[in-house]
Amino acid sequence: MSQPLLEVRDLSAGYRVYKGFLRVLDGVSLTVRRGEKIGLVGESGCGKTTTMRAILGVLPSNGRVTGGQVLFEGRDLRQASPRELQRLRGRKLTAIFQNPGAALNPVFTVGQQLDAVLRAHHPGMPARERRQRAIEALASVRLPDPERLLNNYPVQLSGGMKQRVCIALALLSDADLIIADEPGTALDVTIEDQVMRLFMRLVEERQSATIFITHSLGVVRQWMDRVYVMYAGSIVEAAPTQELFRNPLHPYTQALLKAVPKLTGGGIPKGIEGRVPDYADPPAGCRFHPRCPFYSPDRCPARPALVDVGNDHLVACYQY
Amino acid sequence: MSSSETAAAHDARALWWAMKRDNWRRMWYRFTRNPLSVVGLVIVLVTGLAAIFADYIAPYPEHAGAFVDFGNAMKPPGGQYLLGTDPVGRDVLSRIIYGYRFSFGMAIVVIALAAPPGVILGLVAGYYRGTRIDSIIMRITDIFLAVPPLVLAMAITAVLTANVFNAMIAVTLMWWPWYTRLVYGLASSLRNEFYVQAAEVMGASKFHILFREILPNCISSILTKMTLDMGFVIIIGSSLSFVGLGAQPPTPDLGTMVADGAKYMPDQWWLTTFPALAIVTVVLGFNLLGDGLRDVLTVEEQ
Amino acid sequence: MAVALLEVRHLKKYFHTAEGVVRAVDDVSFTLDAGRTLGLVGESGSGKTTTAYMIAGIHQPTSGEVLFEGRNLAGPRSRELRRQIQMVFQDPGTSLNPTHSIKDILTLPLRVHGLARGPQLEARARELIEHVHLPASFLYKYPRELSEGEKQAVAIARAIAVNPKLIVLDEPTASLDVSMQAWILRLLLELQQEFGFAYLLITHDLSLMRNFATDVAIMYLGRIVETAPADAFFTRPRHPYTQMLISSIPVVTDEEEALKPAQVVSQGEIPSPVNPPSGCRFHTRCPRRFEPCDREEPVMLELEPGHCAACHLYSGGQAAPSQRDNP
Ligand SMILES: Nc1ncnc2c1ncn2[C@@H]1O[C@H](COP(=O)(O)OP(=O)(O)OP(=O)(O)O)[C@@H](O)[C@H]1O
Ligand SMILES: Nc1ncnc2c1ncn2[C@@H]1O[C@H](COP(=O)(O)OP(=O)(O)OP(=O)(O)O)[C@@H](O)[C@H]1O
Ligand SMILES: [Mg+2]
Ligand SMILES: [Mg+2]
Repeated sequence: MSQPLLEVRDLSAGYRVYKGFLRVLDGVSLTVRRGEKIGLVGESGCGKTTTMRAILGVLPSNGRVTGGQVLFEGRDLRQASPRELQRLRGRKLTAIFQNPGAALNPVFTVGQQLDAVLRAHHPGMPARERRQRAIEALASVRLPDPERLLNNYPVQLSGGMKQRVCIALALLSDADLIIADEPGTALDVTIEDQVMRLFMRLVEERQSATIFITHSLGVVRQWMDRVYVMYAGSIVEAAPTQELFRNPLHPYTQALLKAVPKLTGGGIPKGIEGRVPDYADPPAGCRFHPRCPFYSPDRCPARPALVDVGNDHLVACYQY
Repeated sequence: MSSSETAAAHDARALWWAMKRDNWRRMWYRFTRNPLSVVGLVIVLVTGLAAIFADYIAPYPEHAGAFVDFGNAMKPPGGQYLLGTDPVGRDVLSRIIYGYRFSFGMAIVVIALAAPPGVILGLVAGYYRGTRIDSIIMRITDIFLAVPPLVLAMAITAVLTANVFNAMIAVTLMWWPWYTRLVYGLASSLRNEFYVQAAEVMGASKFHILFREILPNCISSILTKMTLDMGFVIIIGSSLSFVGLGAQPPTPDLGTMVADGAKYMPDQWWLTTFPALAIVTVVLGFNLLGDGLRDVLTVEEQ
Repeated sequence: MAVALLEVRHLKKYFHTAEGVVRAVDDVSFTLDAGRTLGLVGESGSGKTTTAYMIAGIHQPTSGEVLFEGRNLAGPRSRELRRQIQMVFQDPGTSLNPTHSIKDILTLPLRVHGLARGPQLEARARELIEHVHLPASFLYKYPRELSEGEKQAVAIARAIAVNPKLIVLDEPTASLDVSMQAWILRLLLELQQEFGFAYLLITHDLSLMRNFATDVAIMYLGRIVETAPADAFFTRPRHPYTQMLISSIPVVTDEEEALKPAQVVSQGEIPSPVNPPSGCRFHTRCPRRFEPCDREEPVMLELEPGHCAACHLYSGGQAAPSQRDNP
């Protein structure tokens, strides 16, 4: 098989804080191939955004990558010079950040921000054509009145409109890998459906790839090829989408699926007992063990490795 | 019960301080990444300390005032007088060090006087942007800004008598509007932030919103500006002295020294060159420091 | 009948921009009683947040009124009123002041309303943070050190701090994972049962809506097009937009999939709030539009007790047969 587009091996990262170091990521491994759509799910605070930032090399000032490799087309991004990384980030790797309010610059209009991306990618393109491209991009993410929007400032947009502008920005960049951090939370389901359709079509057409971080398991089920489930800074289960939803193996995945409110009614289900661990002093061994109904000290002696249980289904749990 | 509570409170305070310390350390690290910022800091520290401890550092402290020693007049640099002496035999180096004391003192007083009212007016006007309050405050500000600074200062010192005190008043009067401008811009955009609106929805007082929600988010810009301004106030102060409207002899002032020395150019070049260099150095120092601070503080806020 | 806790009458909000007048909210009316939850669902950009802002007092309506316990809320609000109506903003990260610690953020409403002081503040902050399922150590963090979901939990904790009567929740769980969401929603339900809190819940998660809201209102381009009890909304959706919404819900189990109607893929232009389409505003995207739709505006009709829709299909026109609107 050909070389994967992105391979993350044993990535560890954390944040420096007053009481020491928060070891948030603890050996994350992911593989993304061209044309693949990867869903990344997990509890709030389990380190999804941290993973994304570590891959892109844009951790906040107190964050640090402490180990592992990020191989993009076989090159280790951790060894790349800042300038190289900067170039890669624009051209080949791009991201849609979680907080659309903070990702857009409040002092520039939507048009100016789209234009900046186009200028960077197509230096010779005439202004009129850039404008046309920008309008098309906005229309493609189903924004009404794209021409008017070009002159709007981010404050004049609704939450969902800002998110769609961010998506348009990412799609304009023609990147090989788009890491999207909850891009659709403020979209109603009909628009989300259309935007996802477009997004996934582009990924297939361009033979690029995406890592899609979301809390909406429904979206994952409907659109993604493969799902990685993350708990407290490591991948606990990875499987093709259908397989994962039909046959979840890790106790955490099972509990997560149970906590989804169902269209069939039945009230708000119970959340998973316990809390995400304190990263300053994470539980030894399996990080899920304090919350695990199957835990017993003799069965779970150390940290379980990800093992393949068939059907391309990987799980990190001593039950298997 | 109460002892555990106080212990918890004590713990909390300790954590808070530890965290602050950590933040400072991080900022210091980032600051030191840019060598120019460090150069700026060193210049400011060295000149500042020299100004504070002038009495101990200056080779001839008594030369700062009305001292006369015609025997040693117009000595070129080198030997006993490192930077030479002036027409009445005073040591130029000592006078520069005392000149720093004067310039720093003036700059600090001016900024301490100009910044608070400027900031408060800017906060209020920015928060009430678009209302009557805004237009009144900003029109007054515009009027002050429209008058060329040096001209305003000259007018004031000309009407009153030319002395140090009036020069400071003049510079202060022309300086506060810049703070109003700066904070006005910040506050009028910050008031749209959701956290300000959240405080409003909650029913927080205007005082709280202005000084607790908005002001802390302006502090870094204000600090940066104050640092940069130190340099500019020193220049303006020196310029006023240069044209004879600021410090009056025998007060040692860099501007006055440059002006007095100019008469003896180019033969006694040191009389003008060294004070001028002294001004340039300290202004450069403040600028570099200010730029460094700006980088550190804006990254900190992301 | 007693007065409703919240009544909104003919509310409008127009924004005047350089490119024209944006009719963000254009004649919206509804009521909400104590102890109930009204779910506001709608297209992105249809004016949900703007409506919420007018209720919370951030925007003044262009016209129409907001009545709280029968009192008109126009003009400046008393501090007590500010306590009784709380809001959780859509973008949780930006509603927390970056220069304040989480403890300061959580205790601000208590200090403002003088509900606690000194050591009590600390204790109450601890209680609140644990309510929303975060460890107490978070009190000494700053917002930028939290993940997006954690910030959202803090924003919710701040809203419940002062025992309000009404909480406007603008996508309160959008960045929470399902487990945290479950914990927090259960907390909100408990508070509702105990203290009779009323919630105005804006969300795009229709499965959540079904399980959390008691009533649902569907908005489209500044208007409410359907209101119904939560159950009827799912089992007997009337407005074609509602039907389209329900058919597009992404679900997690095969049973739910079976329950969903065949997907109606939306086509056509997304209309602009500056220049809303003539007639029924949805007609540009409606799969079932017919003769009068682009000319006449449909009126809200009560089709069943408590279930209203504004659509020509039900206004006596030559209604095309629907796939699934038989009771
Ligand atoms: N700058 C920071 N300093 C210290 N701790 C941080 C920082 N950023 C994140 N954390 C902590 O690291 C953990 C992981 O955060 P991350 O943002 O990666 O979570 P996430 O999986 O994206 O969650 P969410 O779904 O809520 O966005 C959280 O517990 C958070 O509190
Ligand atoms: N300050 C403003 N100036 C101009 N137009 C505005 C302003 N605020 C909102 N709008 C416009 O009003 C319309 C409704 O916005 P609103 O934020 O209420 O939508 P929403 O229903 O909350 O959408 P979402 O689900 O995407 O958050 C949008 O078209 C938006 O562009
Ligand atoms: Mg995140
Ligand atoms: Mg909104």
